[in-house]
Amino acid sequence: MKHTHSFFSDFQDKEHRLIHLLEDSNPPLPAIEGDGPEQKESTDKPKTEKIDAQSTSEDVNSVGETALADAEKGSTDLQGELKKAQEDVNRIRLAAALGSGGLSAEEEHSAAEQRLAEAQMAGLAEDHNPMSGGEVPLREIHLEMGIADSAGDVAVTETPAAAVTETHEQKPDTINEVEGVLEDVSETTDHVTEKVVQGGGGDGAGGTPDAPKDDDIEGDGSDPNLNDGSPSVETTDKPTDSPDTEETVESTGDIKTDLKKAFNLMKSNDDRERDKGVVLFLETIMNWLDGKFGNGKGVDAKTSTENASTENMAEKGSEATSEQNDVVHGPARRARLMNAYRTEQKKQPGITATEFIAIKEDSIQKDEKSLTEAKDDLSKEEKNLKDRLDILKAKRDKEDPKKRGPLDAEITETETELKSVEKKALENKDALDKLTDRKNDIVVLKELRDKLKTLQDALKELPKDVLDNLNDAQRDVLNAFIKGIDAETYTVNFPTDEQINQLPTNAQDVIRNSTFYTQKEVYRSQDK
Amino acid sequence: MSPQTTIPTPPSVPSGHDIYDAIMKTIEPELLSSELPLLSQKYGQETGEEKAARMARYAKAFAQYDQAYETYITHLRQQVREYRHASFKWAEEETNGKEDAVMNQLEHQMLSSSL
Repeated sequence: MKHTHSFFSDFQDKEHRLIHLLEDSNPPLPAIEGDGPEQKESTDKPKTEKIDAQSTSEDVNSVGETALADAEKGSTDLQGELKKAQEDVNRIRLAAALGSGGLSAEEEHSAAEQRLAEAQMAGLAEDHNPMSGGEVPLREIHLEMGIADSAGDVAVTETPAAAVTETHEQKPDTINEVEGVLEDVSETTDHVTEKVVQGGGGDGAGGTPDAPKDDDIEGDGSDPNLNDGSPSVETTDKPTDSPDTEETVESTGDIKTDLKKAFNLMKSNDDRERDKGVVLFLETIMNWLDGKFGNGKGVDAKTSTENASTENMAEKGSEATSEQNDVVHGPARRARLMNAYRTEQKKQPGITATEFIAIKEDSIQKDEKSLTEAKDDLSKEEKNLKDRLDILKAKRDKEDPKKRGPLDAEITETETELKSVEKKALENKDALDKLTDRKNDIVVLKELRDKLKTLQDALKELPKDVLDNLNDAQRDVLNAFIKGIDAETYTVNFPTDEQINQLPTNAQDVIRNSTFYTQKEVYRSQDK
Repeated sequence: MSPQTTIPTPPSVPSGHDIYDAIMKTIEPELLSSELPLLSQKYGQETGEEKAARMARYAKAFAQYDQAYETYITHLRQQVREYRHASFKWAEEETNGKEDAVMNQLEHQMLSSSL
């Protein structure tokens, strides 16, 4: 619990208390020095009993000022020490990089900057760092420290003793403690690595990775705010010959509900309404396929069209690496995965999406287990070798220079061994990192399958009378969708070009502008 | 009221040299400050390929060092911030305690003088 206690209002309270004391005192009032010339000194009281209020007040003030000034000085000195240590460390680090020859371009730049800064500093008579000047008003320091409010009042928390004790306990006052911190660093690094490797995590025995939680994980540059779970059916690029397209229909985010709106319009006897219904139907489907995967999650795939052309991805096929597709839900990744599935389909005709996912999950689990075990082993081995190397070097240093030969040889051998282990550890880490990507693949495969299944089910609910009410061209296109989707084989057989060409231009554009449509080859059934 | 806290002791800030060596010791002993002047002599005969491998090793070591240093220095900065806070708090409480004593003395004097 923390409460605010005004440091300065304490002074006021004490002043009031003093005034009350003086006012309430029975006469004769003791003489008060410094209260003004008109005050008469009582001759009844001995001089020694006079109360020097002004001097007392000065004492009180000086007590506060001195203590705070001491605290300020101590703190400022420490800040100065820290600053100097940091500067020294940076200088030594840079010198080490220079001395060892292992200087990166960035470090070279930094070295040049540092030399320039040092030259400038040499021309300065004093350090202008406000922390070392001692000229910073107390109030500013209080504000900076967060123990004073904007009025300058100082806040006092209730647990100073604990805070001070804790400070002492954690004080890294020896190099051993520095090393202690480093051990923590090592653990933290491992922990972070594990976190990264775990990626989306699993959901238990099945090992199914959870969908990524972070909105930005899609990483395709799309605005995460757009992913509100409601595929918009608004079309900004309306074809000029649209029958009546100013009207927009808000999406509910539920494909079945949205399609029902289109069905109702398609039932109309009014040709214009019916055409509108068809366009709405197509917009709903294409936006659904393009934009929103996995219960409202996903990306607007149109933002990644450039990477997503069928030609591009189909050529790369399953050879395309995950690094090339820096998106999780983006069309490029989907195309790569579809190519992988089609390849598998050729090897194992009839393999379903669910089976394909299960195979991949199983493989990931096995790899993850073995890689994690290998990581632990390599880490131990690396540590052992480093320890051994330290011991050998210490031994060598103590040894008579003439007898160092065998130890030098052993050191070289150990170093070679260590290098080999480090290389393996690095490769292992890369492989573990790639597992995260593979887990993302699973997420996308599942989302795509489920998405198509939802659409497949929604289209089954299209009333027969709606189709009967359409003209032939419209009916052909709708039928193509209705019959052409099979979630378990990732199939979307789009209407043929000939069929699409029969539609009004705005309806044609709805289909052809879709990213999903541009990748239609990877969704084409292998059986037909 | 007497202060409840003891005078805070500032955290010790090791020298830059000590910090660098303490961290680097566990990562790449060859890059310890004492070893640096010996490197050119030690590797005077190495081939370009060997040098490239060594530089790669150093680069990795420096990357590890930077990470470890960042963690350590963040920790130390936090200690310094905590010390600042604790010392000001202590000063306030110390001040309050002394003020109370002075006030009590004053009160006592006034009461006794009015008797």
